[in-house]
Amino acid sequence: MIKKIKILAMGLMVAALMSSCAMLTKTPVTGVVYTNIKSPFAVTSNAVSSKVGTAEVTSVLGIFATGDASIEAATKSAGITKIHHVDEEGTSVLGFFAKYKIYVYGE
Amino acid sequence: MFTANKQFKRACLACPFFIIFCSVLAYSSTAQNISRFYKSSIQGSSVLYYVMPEMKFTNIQKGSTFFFDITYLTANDSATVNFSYIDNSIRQIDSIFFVLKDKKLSSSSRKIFIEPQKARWYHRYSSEFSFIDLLALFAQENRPEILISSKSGSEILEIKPGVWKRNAAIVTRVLMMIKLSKEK
Repeated sequence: MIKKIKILAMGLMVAALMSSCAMLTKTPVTGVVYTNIKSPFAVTSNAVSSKVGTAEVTSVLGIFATGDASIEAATKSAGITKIHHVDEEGTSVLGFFAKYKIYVYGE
Repeated sequence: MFTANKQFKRACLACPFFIIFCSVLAYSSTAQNISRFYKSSIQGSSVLYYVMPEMKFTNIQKGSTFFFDITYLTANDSATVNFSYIDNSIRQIDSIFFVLKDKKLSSSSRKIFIEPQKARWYHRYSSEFSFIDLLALFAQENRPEILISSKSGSEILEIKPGVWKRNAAIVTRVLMMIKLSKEK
């Protein structure tokens, strides 16, 4: 009986540790097993948009995290000089892999 | 009793792998959802679509890569193809071609920026293609090649057949959805 409890406790501890490895920190809600969220980031008073630029960062196991998800990188990718609004998207799978991406709309 | 303990141990050991399997299954099943490949935003009387084909063309000998995205405002006839070209050397690209068996789709390119990326150079350019031509391009089964033309010469990049077959079908659905939504 004690052995069963020990095995269960170990399993829960591993799951808890792994769940915080590559997790998203900026989405409104997150799922321990799987997350795929789209949410608003910013909006301006500029009227319309005809271009879309993106920028993303990724994390693997919470050990390596790289990328540039700045608004500057996203606007540069599409040649945007006037921003209309910005949306964000977060994806994570069981703490093994996480990706955060922003979409900048403008002209 | 020993059998019950062994079964319980096997179940406890298999549980994490079951969770991993379910999460991978969930991710792969949602990966086929086409909403992952496009974004849309209403702009007055038209809609702005951003399509991410998730296709990478490569030149294995030179080690260069090419990937692109499509932006289309339904009020227009042409779509903007912004592309990234990564190579060991700097290339002033003046036009790109989608090369098919029987024809070529070509467009002049406008530079957005060129910057170093570690030991290589990251080129970001923009071209305009007819939306109808792009729809026809992705709808066809044969994979196209990309021809990059510059003053220093031209280069051909290819895509894996499986990648083209899988992703082109999804992009075709997205573009068809845009075409149908645009029609009054």
